Amino acid sequence: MSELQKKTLHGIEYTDQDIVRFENGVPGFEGLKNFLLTMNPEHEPFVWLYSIDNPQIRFLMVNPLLFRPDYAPQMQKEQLNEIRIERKEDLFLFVIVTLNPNPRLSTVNMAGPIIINMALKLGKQAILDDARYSIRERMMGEDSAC
Amino acid sequence: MLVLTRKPGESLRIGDDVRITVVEIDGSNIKIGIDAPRSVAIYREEVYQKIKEENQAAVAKTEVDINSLTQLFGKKGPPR
Repeated sequence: MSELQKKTLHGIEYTDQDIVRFENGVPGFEGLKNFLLTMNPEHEPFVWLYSIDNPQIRFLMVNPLLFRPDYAPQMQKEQLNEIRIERKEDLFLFVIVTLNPNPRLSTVNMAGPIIINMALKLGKQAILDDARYSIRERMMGEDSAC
Repeated sequence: MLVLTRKPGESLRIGDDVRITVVEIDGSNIKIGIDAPRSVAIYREEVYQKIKEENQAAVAKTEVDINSLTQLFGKKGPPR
Protein backbone atom coordinates (compact mmCIF):
# COMPACT_ATOMS: atom_id res chain seq x y z
CA MET A 1 0.00 0.00 0.00
CA SER A 2 2.39 2.70 -1.16
CA GLU A 3 -0.51 5.16 -1.14
CA LEU A 4 -0.57 5.15 2.64
CA GLN A 5 3.14 5.51 3.04
CA LYS A 6 3.91 8.39 5.35
CA LYS A 7 5.88 11.29 3.93
CA THR A 8 6.84 14.59 5.48
CA LEU A 9 6.83 18.18 4.29
CA HIS A 10 8.26 20.84 6.63
CA GLY A 11 7.92 18.31 9.43
CA ILE A 12 4.26 17.65 8.65
CA GLU A 13 3.37 14.01 8.11
CA TYR A 14 1.02 13.19 5.27
CA THR A 15 0.03 10.39 2.92
CA ASP A 16 -1.02 10.58 -0.71
CA GLN A 17 -4.64 10.60 0.42
CA ASP A 18 -4.12 14.02 2.01
CA ILE A 19 -2.96 15.66 -1.20
CA VAL A 20 -5.29 18.27 -2.66
CA ARG A 21 -5.00 18.25 -6.41
CA PHE A 22 -5.16 21.56 -8.33
CA GLU A 23 -5.43 20.30 -11.90
CA ASN A 24 -4.46 23.68 -13.40
CA GLY A 25 -2.34 25.00 -10.58
CA VAL A 26 -3.20 28.58 -9.63
CA PRO A 27 -2.54 31.69 -11.75
CA GLY A 28 1.18 32.49 -11.56
CA PHE A 29 1.96 28.95 -10.38
CA GLU A 30 0.35 26.88 -13.10
CA GLY A 31 2.88 24.07 -12.79
CA LEU A 32 2.17 23.38 -9.13
CA LYS A 33 -0.64 20.88 -8.88
CA ASN A 34 -0.28 19.06 -5.57
CA PHE A 35 -0.92 20.82 -2.29
CA LEU A 36 -1.27 20.02 1.37
CA LEU A 37 -3.75 21.87 3.56
CA THR A 38 -2.29 22.19 7.04
CA MET A 39 -3.70 23.65 10.20
CA ASN A 40 -1.33 24.74 12.90
CA PRO A 41 -3.31 25.40 16.11
CA GLU A 42 -1.01 28.34 16.88
CA HIS A 43 -1.99 30.02 13.63
CA GLU A 44 -5.71 29.35 13.94
CA PRO A 45 -7.98 30.38 12.24
CA PHE A 46 -5.42 30.73 9.44
CA VAL A 47 -4.39 27.66 7.46
CA TRP A 48 -1.46 26.98 5.17
CA LEU A 49 -1.66 25.58 1.68
CA TYR A 50 1.73 24.08 0.96
CA SER A 51 2.93 23.13 -2.48
CA ILE A 52 4.30 19.61 -2.50
CA ASP A 53 5.87 20.14 -5.93
CA ASN A 54 7.87 23.16 -4.74
CA PRO A 55 8.18 23.22 -0.93
CA GLN A 56 9.31 26.88 -1.06
CA ILE A 57 5.83 27.93 -2.11
CA ARG A 58 3.01 28.24 0.37
CA PHE A 59 -0.11 30.31 0.73
CA LEU A 60 -1.67 31.55 3.95
CA MET A 61 -5.44 31.30 3.80
CA VAL A 62 -8.46 32.03 5.95
CA ASN A 63 -12.19 31.40 5.84
CA PRO A 64 -13.58 34.73 4.53
CA LEU A 65 -16.89 34.28 6.32
CA LEU A 66 -15.11 34.94 9.64
CA PHE A 67 -14.76 38.61 8.82
CA ARG A 68 -17.22 39.04 5.90
CA PRO A 69 -20.26 36.95 6.83
CA ASP A 70 -22.06 38.34 3.77
CA TYR A 71 -19.37 37.20 1.32
CA ALA A 72 -21.29 35.52 -1.49
CA PRO A 73 -19.10 35.05 -4.54
CA GLN A 74 -20.98 34.22 -7.70
CA MET A 75 -18.90 31.57 -9.41
CA GLN A 76 -19.24 30.42 -12.94
CA LYS A 77 -20.76 26.93 -12.87
CA GLU A 78 -17.85 25.50 -14.79
CA GLN A 79 -15.52 26.52 -11.97
CA LEU A 80 -17.52 24.42 -9.52
CA ASN A 81 -17.81 21.60 -12.06
CA GLU A 82 -14.04 21.54 -12.36
CA ILE A 83 -13.72 20.37 -8.77
CA ARG A 84 -16.81 18.17 -9.16
CA ILE A 85 -18.91 19.74 -6.43
CA GLU A 86 -22.14 17.84 -6.03
CA ARG A 87 -22.92 18.41 -2.37
CA LYS A 88 -22.68 21.83 -0.77
CA GLU A 89 -21.07 20.41 2.37
CA ASP A 90 -18.03 19.24 0.41
CA LEU A 91 -17.19 22.79 -0.64
CA PHE A 92 -14.63 24.62 1.51
CA LEU A 93 -13.98 28.27 0.81
CA PHE A 94 -10.80 30.19 1.61
CA VAL A 95 -9.16 33.44 0.59
CA ILE A 96 -5.41 33.98 0.29
CA VAL A 97 -3.76 36.38 2.72
CA THR A 98 -1.03 38.78 1.65
CA LEU A 99 0.85 39.41 4.87
CA ASN A 100 2.24 42.77 5.86
CA PRO A 101 4.70 43.46 8.71
CA ASN A 102 1.94 45.67 10.10
CA PRO A 103 -0.82 43.09 10.64
CA ARG A 104 -3.55 45.68 10.15
CA LEU A 105 -2.30 46.22 6.62
CA SER A 106 -2.44 42.53 5.75
CA THR A 107 -4.95 41.98 2.96
CA VAL A 108 -6.97 39.14 1.51
CA ASN A 109 -7.75 38.37 -2.11
CA MET A 110 -11.55 38.35 -2.21
CA ALA A 111 -11.61 38.24 -6.03
CA GLY A 112 -9.75 34.94 -6.26
CA PRO A 113 -11.10 32.60 -3.60
CA ILE A 114 -9.65 29.11 -3.24
CA ILE A 115 -12.37 26.48 -3.46
CA ILE A 116 -11.71 22.92 -2.36
CA ASN A 117 -13.84 19.82 -2.68
CA MET A 118 -12.77 18.26 0.61
CA ALA A 119 -14.40 14.91 -0.17
CA LEU A 120 -12.54 14.42 -3.45
CA LYS A 121 -9.50 16.54 -2.52
CA LEU A 122 -9.80 18.72 -5.60
CA GLY A 123 -9.00 22.42 -5.51
CA LYS A 124 -9.00 25.46 -7.69
CA GLN A 125 -8.69 29.22 -7.52
CA ALA A 126 -11.95 30.71 -8.71
CA ILE A 127 -11.67 33.95 -10.61
CA LEU A 128 -14.48 36.39 -9.94
CA ASP A 129 -15.33 39.18 -12.29
CA ASP A 130 -17.24 41.03 -9.60
CA ALA A 131 -16.69 44.69 -8.77
CA ARG A 132 -17.79 44.07 -5.15
CA TYR A 133 -14.67 42.09 -4.37
CA SER A 134 -11.11 43.30 -4.68
CA ILE A 135 -7.80 41.46 -4.73
CA ARG A 136 -6.56 43.54 -1.77
CA GLU A 137 -9.14 43.88 0.91
CA ARG A 138 -8.36 44.62 4.55
CA MET A 139 -9.61 42.09 7.06
CA MET A 140 -9.90 44.65 9.82
CA GLY A 141 -11.10 48.20 9.92
CA GLU A 142 -8.34 50.71 10.64
CA ASP A 143 -10.05 51.91 13.78
CA SER A 144 -10.76 48.52 15.34
CA ALA A 145 -9.53 48.29 18.91
CA CYS A 146 -6.40 46.36 19.76
CA MET B 1 0.25 35.84 -32.75
CA LEU B 2 -2.13 35.10 -35.56
CA VAL B 3 -3.92 38.27 -36.66
CA LEU B 4 -7.14 38.11 -38.67
CA THR B 5 -9.41 40.89 -39.92
CA ARG B 6 -13.15 40.52 -39.25
CA LYS B 7 -16.18 42.72 -39.83
CA PRO B 8 -19.11 43.08 -37.44
CA GLY B 9 -21.24 39.96 -37.65
CA GLU B 10 -18.33 37.81 -38.79
CA SER B 11 -16.91 35.02 -36.65
CA LEU B 12 -13.92 32.81 -36.28
CA ARG B 13 -13.54 29.38 -34.80
CA ILE B 14 -10.94 28.04 -32.41
CA GLY B 15 -10.94 24.29 -32.65
CA ASP B 16 -14.26 22.55 -33.13
CA ASP B 17 -16.19 24.05 -30.29
CA VAL B 18 -15.22 27.67 -29.68
CA ARG B 19 -16.69 30.42 -31.85
CA ILE B 20 -15.87 34.09 -31.43
CA THR B 21 -18.08 36.69 -33.11
CA VAL B 22 -17.52 40.42 -33.50
CA VAL B 23 -20.96 41.65 -32.47
CA GLU B 24 -20.61 45.40 -32.70
CA ILE B 25 -18.02 48.13 -33.03
CA ASP B 26 -18.65 51.47 -31.37
CA GLY B 27 -15.65 53.77 -31.50
CA SER B 28 -12.88 52.11 -29.49
CA ASN B 29 -15.27 49.56 -27.93
CA ILE B 30 -15.66 46.21 -29.58
CA LYS B 31 -18.37 43.84 -28.43
CA ILE B 32 -17.33 40.22 -28.74
CA GLY B 33 -19.58 37.19 -28.45
CA ILE B 34 -18.15 33.85 -27.41
CA ASP B 35 -19.74 30.45 -27.87
CA ALA B 36 -17.84 27.81 -25.96
CA PRO B 37 -18.57 24.58 -24.10
CA ARG B 38 -19.57 24.91 -20.46
CA SER B 39 -16.28 23.34 -19.41
CA VAL B 40 -14.37 26.36 -20.69
CA ALA B 41 -14.09 29.24 -18.22
CA ILE B 42 -13.76 32.67 -19.80
CA TYR B 43 -12.09 35.62 -18.07
CA ARG B 44 -11.09 39.08 -19.07
CA GLU B 45 -7.30 39.07 -19.35
CA GLU B 46 -6.73 41.91 -16.87
CA VAL B 47 -8.77 40.10 -14.18
CA TYR B 48 -6.65 36.96 -14.60
CA GLN B 49 -3.44 39.03 -14.56
CA LYS B 50 -4.39 40.80 -11.32
CA ILE B 51 -5.04 37.48 -9.57
CA LYS B 52 -1.73 36.13 -10.83
CA GLU B 53 0.22 39.15 -9.56
CA GLU B 54 -1.50 39.03 -6.19
CA ASN B 55 -0.69 35.30 -5.83
CA GLN B 56 2.97 36.10 -6.45
CA ALA B 57 2.85 38.94 -3.92
CA ALA B 58 1.18 36.68 -1.35
CA VAL B 59 3.83 33.97 -1.73
CA ALA B 60 6.63 36.52 -1.44
CA LYS B 61 5.21 37.75 1.87
CA THR B 62 4.77 34.39 3.59
CA GLU B 63 8.04 34.92 5.48
CA VAL B 64 6.45 37.79 7.39
CA ASP B 65 5.79 36.72 10.97
CA ILE B 66 2.13 35.85 11.28
CA ASN B 67 1.95 35.85 15.06
CA SER B 68 1.09 39.52 15.28
CA LEU B 69 -1.76 38.92 12.85
CA THR B 70 -3.15 35.91 14.70
CA GLN B 71 -2.98 37.81 18.00
CA LEU B 72 -4.83 40.74 16.56
CA PHE B 73 -7.32 38.57 14.72
CA GLY B 74 -8.17 36.17 17.52
CA LYS B 75 -9.27 32.57 17.13
CA LYS B 76 -12.78 33.37 16.01
CA GLY B 77 -12.18 36.32 13.78
CA PRO B 78 -11.08 39.93 13.91
CA PRO B 79 -12.22 42.58 16.34
CA ARG B 80 -15.20 44.51 15.07
